[in-house]
Amino acid sequence: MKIMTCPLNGPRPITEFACGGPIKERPADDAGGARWAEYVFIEDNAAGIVLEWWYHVPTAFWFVAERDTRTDTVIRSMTVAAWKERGGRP
Amino acid sequence: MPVAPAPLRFAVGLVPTGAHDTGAPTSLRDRSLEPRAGVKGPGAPAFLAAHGIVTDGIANRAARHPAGGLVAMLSGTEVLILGAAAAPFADYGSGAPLAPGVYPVPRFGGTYWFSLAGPGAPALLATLCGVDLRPHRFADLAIAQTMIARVSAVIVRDDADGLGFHIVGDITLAPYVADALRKAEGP
Amino acid sequence: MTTGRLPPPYGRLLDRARTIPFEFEGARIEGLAGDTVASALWAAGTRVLARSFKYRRPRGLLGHGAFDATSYVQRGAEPNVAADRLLLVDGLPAIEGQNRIGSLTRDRGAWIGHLGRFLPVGFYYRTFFRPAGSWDRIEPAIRRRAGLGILGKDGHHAECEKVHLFCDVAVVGGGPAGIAAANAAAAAGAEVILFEAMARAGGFALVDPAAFPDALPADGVRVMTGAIAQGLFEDGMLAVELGDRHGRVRARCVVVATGAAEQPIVFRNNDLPGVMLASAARALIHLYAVRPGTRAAVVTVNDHGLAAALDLHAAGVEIAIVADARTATNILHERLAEAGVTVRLGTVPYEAVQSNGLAGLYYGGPVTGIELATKGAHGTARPEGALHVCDLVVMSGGWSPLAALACHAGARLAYDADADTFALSDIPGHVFAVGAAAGLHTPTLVVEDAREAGHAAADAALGRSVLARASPEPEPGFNHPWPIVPHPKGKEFLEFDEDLTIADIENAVADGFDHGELLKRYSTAGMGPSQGKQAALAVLRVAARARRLAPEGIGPTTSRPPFTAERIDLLAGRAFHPARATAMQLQHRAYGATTMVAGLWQRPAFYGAPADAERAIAAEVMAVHEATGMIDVSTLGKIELRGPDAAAFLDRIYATPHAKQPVGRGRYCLLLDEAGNIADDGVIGRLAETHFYVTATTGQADATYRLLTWLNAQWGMDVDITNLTGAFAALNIAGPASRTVLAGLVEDVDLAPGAFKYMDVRHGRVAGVAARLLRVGFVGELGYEIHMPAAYGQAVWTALADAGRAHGLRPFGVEAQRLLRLQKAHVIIGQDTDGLTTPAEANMGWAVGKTKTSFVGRAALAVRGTRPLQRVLVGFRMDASATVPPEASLVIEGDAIGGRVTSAARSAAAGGIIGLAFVPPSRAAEGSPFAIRLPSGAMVGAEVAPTPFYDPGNTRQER
Repeated sequence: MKIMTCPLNGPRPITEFACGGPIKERPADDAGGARWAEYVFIEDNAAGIVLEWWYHVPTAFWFVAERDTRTDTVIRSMTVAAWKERGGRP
Repeated sequence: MPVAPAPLRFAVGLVPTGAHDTGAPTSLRDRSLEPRAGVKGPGAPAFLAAHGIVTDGIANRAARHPAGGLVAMLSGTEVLILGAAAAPFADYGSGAPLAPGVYPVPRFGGTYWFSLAGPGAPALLATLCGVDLRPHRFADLAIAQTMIARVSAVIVRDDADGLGFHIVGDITLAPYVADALRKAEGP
Repeated sequence: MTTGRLPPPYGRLLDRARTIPFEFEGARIEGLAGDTVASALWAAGTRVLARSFKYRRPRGLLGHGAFDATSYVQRGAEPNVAADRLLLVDGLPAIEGQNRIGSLTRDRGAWIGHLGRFLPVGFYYRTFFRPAGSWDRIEPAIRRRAGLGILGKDGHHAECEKVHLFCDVAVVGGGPAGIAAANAAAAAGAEVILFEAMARAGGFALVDPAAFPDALPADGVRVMTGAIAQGLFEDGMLAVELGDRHGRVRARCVVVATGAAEQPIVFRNNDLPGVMLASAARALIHLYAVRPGTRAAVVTVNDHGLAAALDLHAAGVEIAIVADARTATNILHERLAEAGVTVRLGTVPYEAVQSNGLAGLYYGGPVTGIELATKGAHGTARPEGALHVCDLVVMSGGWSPLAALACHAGARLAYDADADTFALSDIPGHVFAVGAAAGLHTPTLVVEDAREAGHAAADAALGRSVLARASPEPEPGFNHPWPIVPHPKGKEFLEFDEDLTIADIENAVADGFDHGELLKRYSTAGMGPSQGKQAALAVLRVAARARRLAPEGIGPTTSRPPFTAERIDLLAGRAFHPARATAMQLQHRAYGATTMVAGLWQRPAFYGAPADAERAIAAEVMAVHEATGMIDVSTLGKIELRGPDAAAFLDRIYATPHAKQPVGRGRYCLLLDEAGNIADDGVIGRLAETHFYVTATTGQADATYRLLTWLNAQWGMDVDITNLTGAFAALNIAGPASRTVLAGLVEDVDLAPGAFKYMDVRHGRVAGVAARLLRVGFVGELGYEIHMPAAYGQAVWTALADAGRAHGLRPFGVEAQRLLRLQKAHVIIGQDTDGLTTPAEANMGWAVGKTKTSFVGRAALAVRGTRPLQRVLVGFRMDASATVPPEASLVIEGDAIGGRVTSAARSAAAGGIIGLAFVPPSRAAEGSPFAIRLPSGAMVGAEVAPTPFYDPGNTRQER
């Protein structure tokens, strides 16, 4: 079983988590149908390093993890605040 | 005006109440009728400090309170208080903020509280929980917000009366968790 | 045949003071404490322990503790137990042979072995695929014939516990290498667990203590015996069988010290009982003090066979002959010569024979002799034509590393032409292979390398800097490139699990299944319980030769967990099925509720016995209409939102407007997903300027809470989100008398119709308990939802039930609730909508805030709103005499599907059959007839009807 390191709770079995999918920038309300359609329906499915939302179920804690989808390796995880400091945008 | 009825223990008949059996390898007790409270929000630490509960802000660490009981930091802004020190905050009331940025959590009416003591407690929990709770890895007053028997729970180590753990979780899971713990204890 | 045991120090695993009797095939056998069933049987002279899988040939012991599948037995109700790993204990259930009719020695199914040459690889599949369906008929018969043990249905059922273990370094394999690595890791400060499959750690050191004088686990090492590591999964999770418990071991580093499997020499009849691996013979002698035979022939390609010959000689077994395929001599040959043993160089086994009379001719029997051959060029052999009489043939065809665990973690195993064996490469950083698993055999080298690896594993586990450790190259000289002697009459077994011979592999290649992975699946080589441990090398060599390739040209097949056959009951473990109980659960039970599953909850469907359903539901509905009813709605999602931004936050998410919702008012809320589909609904009550109470449907409670927390993790608004789903119990008391019933228990809330209006929310005390009251109308009558901390739920319920008794209060269940709300055409999300339903399709466009500039799904809704509707949810009525169409019955439009029924029921209050259905927009007008197809195929008519079906003016719920 995989281990995921939660910024709040430390390393834990992956069964304590839910994945919220890759981080995508949510379009502005008036961004238009095409942009919204892309946001809602188009997934990158990138083979490589992706940033993802993760959720620690017992604490209802959302955070961001960097994962290599080719090897299923979690490279690092960070709080949302730390991610925003790095320039992350929802 | 009707008198407030007594709260119900959900694990009635499944887990005994009262003092721990000190001679047994493991001893499980239901403490759901004892005070406990939750306070959260950005103003929670300062509010509690003003009411005599000073916290150090370190998540997943508990401290003993002179008034009795434990003050458990679930995050930098959420506190779970177990035991006598919780009494002033145990009533959820209307759920209204206690002060700006200070929000009560209905821990007393909304969670079960079991206490598991004895030298065999870590081994018992190892059959239900994937977190390393062995005494030398999970120190006194350490907190694990994790899953036991596939459901969420807060585990706090408390050696005030010998090796022991508090287990607190959603009250609707009390019968299930009680059953899982009793089965893990063996016949 | 064999009398008594060898004297000490032979028998290192035995406790000679204690004999343990057990039953095998109906006979009483006596063994010693420490014996395995196999060693005790062999000591007692039993030679046939099993019948083979396909040809029902008699089998003895190939290896001992070698994870081969040769000596599987039936232990009571449990099939396929390895006799050579089954420890003799008091109270063992009767042991029986498997895969035989009658007895192991006289198997009435043995005739199939005489048809061997008519049963090539793939015979059944290639023969019975025509005509269609013939395989279905023939397969059960084949399965009865060719199989293993029988799972006793009346066997003991127990729940096996799962247990989590933690360490810095897990060492798998308690042989000299594993012990050396474990000790070194412990000395370097790591927490170490050593897993040993047999009853005691020591491995090869128990056979040859002189070679490994220090093979004792140090005090700091936790040793777990009888432990079989079945798989190494992500991030160092090791799955280990620990007797009757399933261990999940979390180790930072794993040392694979699982040793190597000795390989048979492939020659005719090499499977006869009494033909065994040198390691098995040595184990019997040294560990169990069993003389494996009286007169032995030893055939070998390496020094290990010679060492076995010396052991046999020392143990008093007469040596008929030693045949060594090699031509050069060494000190072991000299010592054998000194002992008076004849050693033939450049000589290989040609054919093992058994002449056990007429019975032997038919049923087969133990080995009685062997014919040798002189080795020629290119793998040829010239038979000598002479028979060496013996009751034991000991063979060593080299070694194959048991490196499966390293492969599970990502290492590669490839043929190494220098050492003529498999070698590991690309071992991940947290995995260390040592000893024979890494191809090392020389004792000093093994121990030195393992110590180094153990130290490195500790350093890596403890986060210290690790010196780059080059994986050792496998040592040459312990294997032979071609320990295979084809025979014109075949029966040279290279895969004992499935009775595969040289010809089977050659035929599979000739049939075109020449790639390693194809060959495996077609021939089934390596697919049996031993997973090819004694076969993979030989299969590779034969396949390579058939393809005129070097062995390294054919990759070995992928190694996957489990390492060896594993017990299903261990995997099943103690099942955890989380279940949630509402505060009123005991009450429901007391009232005799029949329950239905709703997620993790059990909800009362109705109160009464299942046989009484119709009457009970009707009475409950009647009570709500005419008196008062009460339903437990604790399973609703409940979310507390507090903080300065709470109103703005909700307004940004829900399609319904909440920013200007007055304090003290509740409002229906509708949640969409980003594609504009309906995701959830509920009621949002504004308790104070900065305090909202949100309910969600039972099924979506977790998802909605998760969505809210996710959005705020991104937005960072000043709002606190607390999930009260479990923490609060809730009930709905509804019916004309509900206000009166409630009035007796509520003091601080004015219940007067003008003061507490429909869709108002209040905070107050109910029966002395701080609670929230919401005037809602889901079931269409005057009603109040009461929400309170769960610990008081039962008390409030009981107080209301007591107070309501005089007013005809009756608890009602989900079935009555469903009918009541259908009469009002109130939609249930997930039943009357699906994952692609827009508010407009569900006739709920009214709920969407027209002036709102931001909510989840708004952009999608704007786009979808420009397109014509595909379907509309309408109310319909049917003739009272018709059949009630089940949910999901199809609406037929012309010859196409036009929609479906989402809800339908017979309603006394509405006078007939009513329902909700998706129909084409062209059929949505009131009075439009449409056709419904019942599951039986019958067509029934329905007509679009105005909704609500009951109390269209809503006067009852708003009274």
